[in-house]
Amino acid sequence: MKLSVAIEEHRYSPRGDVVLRDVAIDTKAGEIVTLVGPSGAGKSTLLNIIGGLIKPLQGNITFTDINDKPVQPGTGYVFQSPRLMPWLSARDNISLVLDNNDSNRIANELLERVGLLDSADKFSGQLSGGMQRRVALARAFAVRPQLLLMDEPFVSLDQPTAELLRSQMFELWQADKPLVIFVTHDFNEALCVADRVIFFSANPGTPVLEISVDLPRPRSLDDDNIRQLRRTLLAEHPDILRGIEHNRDTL
Amino acid sequence: MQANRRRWLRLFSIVLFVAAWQAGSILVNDVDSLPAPLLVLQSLWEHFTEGELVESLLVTLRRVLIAFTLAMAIGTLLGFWMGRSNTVDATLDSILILGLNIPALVTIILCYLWIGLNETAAVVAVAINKIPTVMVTVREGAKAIDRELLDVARAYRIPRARTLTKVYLPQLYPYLMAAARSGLSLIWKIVLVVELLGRSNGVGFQLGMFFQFFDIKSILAYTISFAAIIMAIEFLLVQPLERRANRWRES
Repeated sequence: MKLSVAIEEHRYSPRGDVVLRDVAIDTKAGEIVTLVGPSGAGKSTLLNIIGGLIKPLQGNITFTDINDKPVQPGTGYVFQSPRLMPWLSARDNISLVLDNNDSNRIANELLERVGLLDSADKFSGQLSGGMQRRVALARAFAVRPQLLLMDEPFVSLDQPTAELLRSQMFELWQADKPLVIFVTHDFNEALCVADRVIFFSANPGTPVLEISVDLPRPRSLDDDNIRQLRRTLLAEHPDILRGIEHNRDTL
Repeated sequence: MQANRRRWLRLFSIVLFVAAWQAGSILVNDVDSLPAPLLVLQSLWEHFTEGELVESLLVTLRRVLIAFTLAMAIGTLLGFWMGRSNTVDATLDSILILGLNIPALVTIILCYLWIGLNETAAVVAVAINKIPTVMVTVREGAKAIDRELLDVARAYRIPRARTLTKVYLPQLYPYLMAAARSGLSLIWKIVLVVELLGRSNGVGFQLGMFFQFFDIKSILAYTISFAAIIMAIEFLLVQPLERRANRWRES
């Protein structure tokens, strides 16, 4: 399944500020694309548009299969906050999004893969922040998505936890290899996750640079070749990356 | 410990009330205007064994239940609709304000005049009195629905029925409980007026008879039986239901 984004312009309201302008993205099947940019670059908005939660003011989103026929992809969505239903157990939060009759079995299986089977019956309020995010991750993969949208899914986690979740995400991804659109403001994380990184500028959000990352997986933030790549990119495109780097240094 | 204390305090308040009543009846020293608690209990027993108390209670209870169900169903539907749609809210709002402020007596009389002195008119009159307050409460609940959780349902294309029961309803539940609780007490009160004005059975009708004979003892006996039923419903039905639904909040 491939995705083609063509947005001339998007505003929150017809007379509001322009949030996105001239966004054209074409993906290959099974690609992991990260969108990086400063806050206010409309990355989350773009993800909401791709996920069908909002309609672009001017533009189109099309999904096509290998025969170029339009399709409606099954979608998994990991939001910036876990967004679990607090009145449902971890297991029920996952089976909520499933349609088959053995949804409980699938939910258990996914919980086991993220190491939370013991907590299946707990309400989300009884889980730590990192555990809630793992449930959200499990929920996204439970639907066996063809399209996986991730909006800063590991933000505000401590480094080891984020690293664990990234590796769990990669393991889950390998089964079906869905198309992933991954939004982050963290340059290092983008390089660590992506096949392709698209850099956005802010106000309005527009893609300004695109690079391929051909490094072997699994990767970690501290890998030498990732540090190397980062240094090279910073040297080549100092103006584009300044905003993003500044973000990071002040954290 | 805490629950135990509450129970004792509750019992204490009832004992205090009965003691004050007893003291009052001694002070007044007139069996016809304020009979002592024991005398009223005796009268209650007589009414109970002679049969017309149980039958009156059942007749009234039936009217209460039908009117309650009707009011909750219609009020919830309309209130939810108003909370979710600004157009509907603006359209129905002035009618709602009118409904909230029409005296119960006016709707009762009009229903009897328009529909006839029959059971339908009685139940409809009660329901009409209650529907607006249910609408107001449920509208607040519908407005407070968490958009982020709804987006989860939309992103995962959860079927409408399941979205309703697993995403909307748990959020509406506190508001529905509040509407049900205040609804039950209001309906009890109005049903009696309806019976007094236009029915030839039920507690309201009986109270009207006792009024004509200045039979204060019987009026108090009926009131006690009534209070007992309301407390039973509150403690055996409403509160356990509420505890069950709020289980996830305790975590």
